[in-house]
Formats: sequence, structure tokens, C-alpha cells
Amino acid sequence: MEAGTTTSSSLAKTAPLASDKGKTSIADGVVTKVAGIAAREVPGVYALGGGASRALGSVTQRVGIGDERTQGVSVEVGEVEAAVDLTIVIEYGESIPQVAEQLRDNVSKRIENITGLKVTEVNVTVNDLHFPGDEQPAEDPRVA
Amino acid sequence: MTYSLSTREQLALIAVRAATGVEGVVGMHAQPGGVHTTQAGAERVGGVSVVAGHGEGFDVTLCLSALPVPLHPLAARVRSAVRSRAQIAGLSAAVGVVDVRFDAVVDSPSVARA
Repeated sequence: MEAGTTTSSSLAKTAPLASDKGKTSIADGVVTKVAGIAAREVPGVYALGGGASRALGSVTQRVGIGDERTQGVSVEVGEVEAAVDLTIVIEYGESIPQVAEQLRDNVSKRIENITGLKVTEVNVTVNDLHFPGDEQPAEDPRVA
Repeated sequence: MTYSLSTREQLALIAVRAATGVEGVVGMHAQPGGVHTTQAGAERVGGVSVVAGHGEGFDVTLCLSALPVPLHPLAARVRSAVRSRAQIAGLSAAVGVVDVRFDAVVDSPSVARA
């Protein structure tokens, strides 16, 4: 499992759309990834995931088993509906209600467009604020 | 000694070639434990299983990685491509239901192919 990601599917493991020519199924991981990509498209979102999951995520990404696009994203997928929980870090100075509203719009729109699932809810938890200059400055090399 | 592929094995290869040729499909997604893998002669074809269906043909299941594009229309294009290729190969009667399962999306094809 990717760091900081939970993909619980109490309703169904996949979301089938059946026709007489065959069935289309979409894995929960696909919905998680789409939600993560959509959330990152929203201005004001600095990162996804809580502090611990981002720290663990950076380790798992370095060894090639993690994906930061699914960090902080939890989805519950049913046959025709999906619910999404997002944990985000927001840029200082941005309006949290506005960013949350844009997140709901964009995540719902993307999931509905790509997977055909109806998004019933997008819950947003703001875990931290990011201040400009918070990044660790890169250390100067000790040798030229 | 020559080994001629069975209809089922031919169908597996045709389905994979058809699916991976559809724009928006990045590749096959091999399942853990090789659940959807077909041995076609010496070739091990991942991401596809072909089993005898309830009707006369074989039911095909394809497990795919795709770009983040509308997936249901993409699945319809994959089905159509599989049937079209099977028809060219003279195997249209052998195709039963074609199930399409999306197991991963990638936001750029270069990431998936790396």
C-alpha cells in the first residue's frame, strides 16, 4: 500500500458498468489516483497528505514503491458512486473555504468525467499551512 | 517441432495487440500472481485471460493501464478494436464477452513505460 493512502472499499472492489458486449471495471486505485491528480491541479494546494504520510511517502518514493499523487487521498468506491477524503497542506494566505470548494468541484468533475462514477462527497482536511521559504535550503557543497 | 497456437491462445495475442493499439491505453497491467495471464506457446501474455464462455465463444478479460481519459468510452473502443482484429484474423465467432478492467492510470505515457 502506498504511504498515507487508504483505499477502503466496503461497497465493492471495482465499479462495473455492464453491457451485453462486456463489463468495464475500474479499480479503487484508479479513482484514488484521479482524485490525487485533480487535487493537485487546484491553486493554493501545496501538498497532499499529513506530516507523517509525507515523510513516509518521501522515503517510499525514493525506493520506488510510493506515489506522491495518491498520498493523503482516501476513497470509498461503490458500484456507481464514490466518496473521497483528502488531507491537504494549503499555501498560507489562501482562503481555505475557497480552496476547499474548488477542490470539491475539480475532484468531482474529474472523477465523474474519467470514471463515470458519481461523487457523493469530497471531505477536505487541512492539515497544515505552507509558508513561503519553509523549504529546507539545499546545503552548499563542501567541495567545489 | 512446430507448435500451432490454439484459438484461445491466438485470441489472447490478438486482444492484447488490439488493446495496446488503442489511443489512451498505456499498457497491460499484470495482476499479482498472474491471475490474468495467458500462456500462448512460448510467450507469456500478461494482463489478459481468455476462458470458455457461456456461449460458443471465449470470454476475454483485459487488465489495462490507461491515461486519465474518460474510461468507459475507452473501454468501448478497446472492445471494438478486439472484435475488429479478431474478424480480420477470421476469429470473430470465437469472441464472446470482452471485459475491460482498468487497474491503473498514469498521467504521462513516459512514466508508465519507464
